Amino acid sequence: MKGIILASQPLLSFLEAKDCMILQEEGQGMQSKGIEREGDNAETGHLSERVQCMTLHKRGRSAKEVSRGKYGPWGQEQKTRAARLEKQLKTSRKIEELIEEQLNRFPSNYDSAMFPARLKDVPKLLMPKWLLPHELTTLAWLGDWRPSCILDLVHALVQSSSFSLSSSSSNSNGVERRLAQLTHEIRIEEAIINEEMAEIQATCIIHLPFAPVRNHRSGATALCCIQAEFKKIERVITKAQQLRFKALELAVKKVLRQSDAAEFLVAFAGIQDVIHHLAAKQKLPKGPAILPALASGPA
Amino acid sequence: MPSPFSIFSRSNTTKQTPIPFKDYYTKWFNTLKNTLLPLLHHSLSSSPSSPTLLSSHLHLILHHLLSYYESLDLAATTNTKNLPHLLYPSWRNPLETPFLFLGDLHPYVFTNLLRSFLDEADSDEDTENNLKVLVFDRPCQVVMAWKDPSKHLMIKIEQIERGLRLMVPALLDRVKKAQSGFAGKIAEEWVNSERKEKMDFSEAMKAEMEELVTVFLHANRLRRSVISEIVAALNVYQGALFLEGLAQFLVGFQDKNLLREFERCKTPISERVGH
Repeated sequence: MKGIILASQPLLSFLEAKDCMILQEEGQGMQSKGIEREGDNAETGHLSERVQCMTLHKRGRSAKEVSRGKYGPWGQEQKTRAARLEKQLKTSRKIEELIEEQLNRFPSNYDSAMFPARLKDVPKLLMPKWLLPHELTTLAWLGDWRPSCILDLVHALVQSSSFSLSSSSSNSNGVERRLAQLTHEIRIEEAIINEEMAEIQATCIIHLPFAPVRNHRSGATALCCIQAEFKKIERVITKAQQLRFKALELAVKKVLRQSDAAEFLVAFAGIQDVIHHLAAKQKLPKGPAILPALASGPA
Repeated sequence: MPSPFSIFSRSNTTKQTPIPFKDYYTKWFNTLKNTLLPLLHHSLSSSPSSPTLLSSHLHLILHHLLSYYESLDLAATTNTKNLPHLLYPSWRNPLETPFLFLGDLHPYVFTNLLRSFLDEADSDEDTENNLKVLVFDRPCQVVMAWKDPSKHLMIKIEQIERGLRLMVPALLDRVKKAQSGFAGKIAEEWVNSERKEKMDFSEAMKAEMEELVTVFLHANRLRRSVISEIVAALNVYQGALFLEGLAQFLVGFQDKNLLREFERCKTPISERVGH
């Protein structure tokens, strides 16, 4: 997925720069859970130290704030926590924006590269230039990643406990259930699209202008017949593309938590990158394929 | 059966020299178009018809069509790395590639061709006059070949179609499973790997390619067996018309004028309405 690779950098650098995903808890669970986990994390600890210093410094300047000293360590701690939470909220919003940005870039890249499609563009939609032969073979379905394979990746990552929250909490069951449900739905839609494509491929011998048995639309020109068939194929490819995006979007927005979604998008981009490099390293035989000369002798 | 029309002779004395598949395909296609199809065409049109001659020309073209699948298999088994080229063959033109299923015609194409002959004969029952106008240049046995097909033939077609309904989805399913397995392995590797940039999926990729080669061989075996079974179930006139139709269809994709029109056509085929 071209868009994902292109868009991954800000998200990746964001995740690398701040290992602050751990606090991504929504609403009520936030305070207790987040801070407990934070204790293990040196970097976040450092971050909280800085926040604390900042707060103390501010306090030093205001008489009103000094008077709050009577609340003692408890008040101070509460304030520190609040500051940290505020920071995390901002981080969370930033991540949300980056996720959104990355998701949106994907369909717009695809559209600008491909539309409006002319007849000769249709084969290119099925064999896009940015996919190398080995990528096409090992991963592609109607021109790009198979939607259910994207979800297979999500599943494998969720299972592997690499995700910060979903694997250890009781919510992991919820994530897995939602993912299973989504995978089920996407597989059905994928099968329907497969059927539609198979139908076009299977009946081309009836509809194409050089069909051995003349069909009854004899008035149409040869090019019109081809356009009609290619239009059908283009519609199937577009549906496949929409399904691919739907799988990605729903996985990111409805199945995974924000932090896991971000991790997944980074992993997805990274995986595509590694596969692309591996595919580029594959030595293709000289010429498309080599055949011993006697192969075509009659059996 | 040695064939005078085979471009590549079986020579045991000289060492085999591998040739690029693209060149092989060009020669194979030219033999079909310029030699075998005209021969079959001629023997279908000559009057009085000679079933013996027709049968021999029918078998020449049948062997030629089947030999293509054997060559595909050979290319795939000789080197697994040929597979990407075989699944997305550059020797087929852009007009043709979107209609390819696992590197060649969809197996349903053959049964649909047969059905279209039978349906045409059926719908011509009411329009006998049109039929006479269209095909008056061929002997009666050829013109009437599809009239009143035997019960045996109809049972056989249904049997072939039933087989395809089971086997085609199974092939697609294996491709899906292979791709899905590959994706799963990559994800596992991704999680377990400390240094992502050093990850190596070569083994997983190799395993998937091997599975896909098997699927490709099965698809070819299926295509081969459907063509052979159909021809075996037909009489010599029907069989000759069926193979003539199939060959004409393959030749049709390479029509230079049509290809030029196709390449030059600027009319957008899609109107985007947004997501």
